[in-house]
Amino acid sequence: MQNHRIHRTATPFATAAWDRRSILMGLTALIGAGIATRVGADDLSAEMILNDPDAPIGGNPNGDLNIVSFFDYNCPFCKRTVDPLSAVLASDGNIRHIYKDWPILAQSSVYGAKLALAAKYQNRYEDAYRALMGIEGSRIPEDRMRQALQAAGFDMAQLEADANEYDADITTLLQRNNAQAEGLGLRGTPVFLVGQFLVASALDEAGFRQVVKDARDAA
Amino acid sequence: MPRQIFLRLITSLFVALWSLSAAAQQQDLLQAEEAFRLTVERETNDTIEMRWQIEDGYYLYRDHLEAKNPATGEKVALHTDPGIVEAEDANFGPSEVYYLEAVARLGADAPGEVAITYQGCKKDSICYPPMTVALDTGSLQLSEPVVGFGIAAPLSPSAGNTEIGGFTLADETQNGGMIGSLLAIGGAGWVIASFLVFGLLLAFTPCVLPMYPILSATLAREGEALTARRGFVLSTSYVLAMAAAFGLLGIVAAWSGQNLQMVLQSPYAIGAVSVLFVVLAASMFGLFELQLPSAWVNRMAGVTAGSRGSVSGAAGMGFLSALIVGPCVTAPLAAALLYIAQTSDAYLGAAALFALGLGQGIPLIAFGTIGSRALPRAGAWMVQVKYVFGFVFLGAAIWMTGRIVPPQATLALWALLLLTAAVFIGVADRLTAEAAAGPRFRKAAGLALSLAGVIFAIGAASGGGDPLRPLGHFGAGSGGSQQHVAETSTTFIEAGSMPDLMQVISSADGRPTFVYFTADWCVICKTIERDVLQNAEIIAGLDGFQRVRVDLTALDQTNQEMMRDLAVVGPPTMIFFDGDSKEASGSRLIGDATIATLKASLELARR
Repeated sequence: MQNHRIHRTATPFATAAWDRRSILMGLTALIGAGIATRVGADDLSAEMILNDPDAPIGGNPNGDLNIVSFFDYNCPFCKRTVDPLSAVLASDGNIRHIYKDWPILAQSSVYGAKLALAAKYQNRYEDAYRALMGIEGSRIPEDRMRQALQAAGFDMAQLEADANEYDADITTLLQRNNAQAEGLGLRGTPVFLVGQFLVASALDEAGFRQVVKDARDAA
Repeated sequence: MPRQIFLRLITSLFVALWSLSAAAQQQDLLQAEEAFRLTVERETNDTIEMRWQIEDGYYLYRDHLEAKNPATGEKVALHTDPGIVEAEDANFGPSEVYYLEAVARLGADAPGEVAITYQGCKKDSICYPPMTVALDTGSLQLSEPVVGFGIAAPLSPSAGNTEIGGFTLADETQNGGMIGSLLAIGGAGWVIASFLVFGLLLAFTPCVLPMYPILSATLAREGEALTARRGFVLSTSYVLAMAAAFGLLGIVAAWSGQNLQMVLQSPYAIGAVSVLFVVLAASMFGLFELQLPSAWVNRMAGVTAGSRGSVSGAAGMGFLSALIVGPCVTAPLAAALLYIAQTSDAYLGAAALFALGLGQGIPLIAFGTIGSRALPRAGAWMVQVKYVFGFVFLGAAIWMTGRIVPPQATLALWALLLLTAAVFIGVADRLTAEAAAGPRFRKAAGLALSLAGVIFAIGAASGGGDPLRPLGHFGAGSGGSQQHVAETSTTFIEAGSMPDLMQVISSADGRPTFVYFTADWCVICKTIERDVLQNAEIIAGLDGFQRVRVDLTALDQTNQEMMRDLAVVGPPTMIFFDGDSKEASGSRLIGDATIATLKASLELARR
């Protein structure tokens, strides 16, 4: 990916006039690539990949094995992995899951990622994650993301207010995630770091169990 | 999943903990450029065929294939064949995809440069970010692909330069901005109350000041019938219409995405209003009684005895004043228009704008009421008063015309006006030896006006255009006292289009950038350019900045694109990008700028 990007974060005055969702369009600020990422070398360390204090954690926070997932809310393969992975996390009980929102596939990916990370401030990140990952397909319009979140019981006004309030922190986190993904040379989503393995593939449940076993064996 | 297949998926051990390059880790994954190889060919019927060779096991999405005109951002028609519906997995839904090969065609009418975006996945593996390439439809040359979205492909075929300057706007230009915050604090009522107060605060800025003479002149048309009550009624209708015009701005913005004020700065609208002012002036001088059918006069000038005519006349004048005469972009106005654009909530936006107009007009109502009482009522005086306001209308007409004719012509008109006024005062009347002090003073005033008129005429005839310094151009070239000004004024790079601006920003090289939107018809801009941008401290402060000026005098598509991309509602707007091409938070200045506010913003951007 290149270093220089055009970031037209302005809500187009003319074209957005009818777009009710565009209030959050500003949130699409960041993206994709290593733009104005102010990422220090430390951010790229294994320590930061595994223990970024701002990254949401699922599974067993004290588990003996880490799974880091890089995903995008417009990535159909990522969506396929949600159920298998959570089944494995639940049955294993000793895996720590680190979420790396990495919105690279479409504009609305950023929108979704920002809302999901805003939900973290209500301690409901995983609810938002599941709601957004539950929408089938790719190129999900922002509208449908809102509907999904609403259906999951989110007060959208509150969620958007949180997204605005913590926008700087959320943006920094997304930039850090992106820098880490680039540092790892990732080319797309999904990617899972399981222990010391890197898997760029949509695993099924058996697949996850296998890598988890391999990772534990190799440790 | 069998273990063997699985092991193939696990691309590598990364004992050296993730600092290795990707190649080793994802060896079975192709780079997007390798997975989807694009070639272009011109067909016999002048259409252009794009063909993607797709590696086995990879596919492209049909509905992610897109062509855009990078200059305008508009879509370009792209003809694609039906793909295969990927039905193997329910998650795909109805996605149409291409395996092995995809073909798309551009019509012969495609613009010279087209940005092509495509996106695909490896089956059961990963999805790639979209790729955008720039295609020169003349030479059929393709640029290096740019990965990511939201990116207009860089197209500079001659330079072959792939480096694009980017910029980021501050967050406060998003999220509903000021109204959004006010709404969060106290709901819609609070928004409207706040805008009323903003209006009051703006009531004595150069935006509103031209309305005072126009309102006075409108009231003076009443002649002897003018009482305090009548003045109140008329100025209230003037102000309500003005506020309604502001509200209308909001509705039009929601409907068309345009700031109506700017659209109305067309030579036709300005010319029409100037003519109207001249007609009104003529009626003040009593000329209509001689020349035009009275019914026409009555309708035109609203001088009927019946009150309805003049009330609606005053209202019409208020409406025009807000839209055409004093089109001012102020921070609250911009906030409301941006809010409407971002949320489509036209009602709240329009209500806020109405409140803003009302606030600006409250002092006008007070002025109209008190002034009407103070005006002399009967007798020969009344004729004189009407003459005075006849000149006010003429002055307003010239002032308006100044936006569309060369400055020399305007100066000549001012000269003519001054000389005419001198004659009305009595400069040509004979003064007898026994004349009292009054007529002598009048004669002296007339002479002074004539002198001013002559000076203006000389200025105009010799190519000058500044009414405040009609002869200033004589000194400017020859050094002397003018040298100071010439040496220290700030210079700007003119940017006429988005690519111009991008070019400047991309060559910033760590320097901050100052972008100033202005227009000839922008009243406040003139004040800013004279009093603020000429200030020595500001000139020094701007020294390390790249300075860009965007002239919105003639509103065209490229201007509008810049306004849209930078979330600008109208002039004057100042935007400050820091050395990283990011707009400094809280630095944007909309509407009136002072030395202090400009200095503060420069400071923010320099950091």
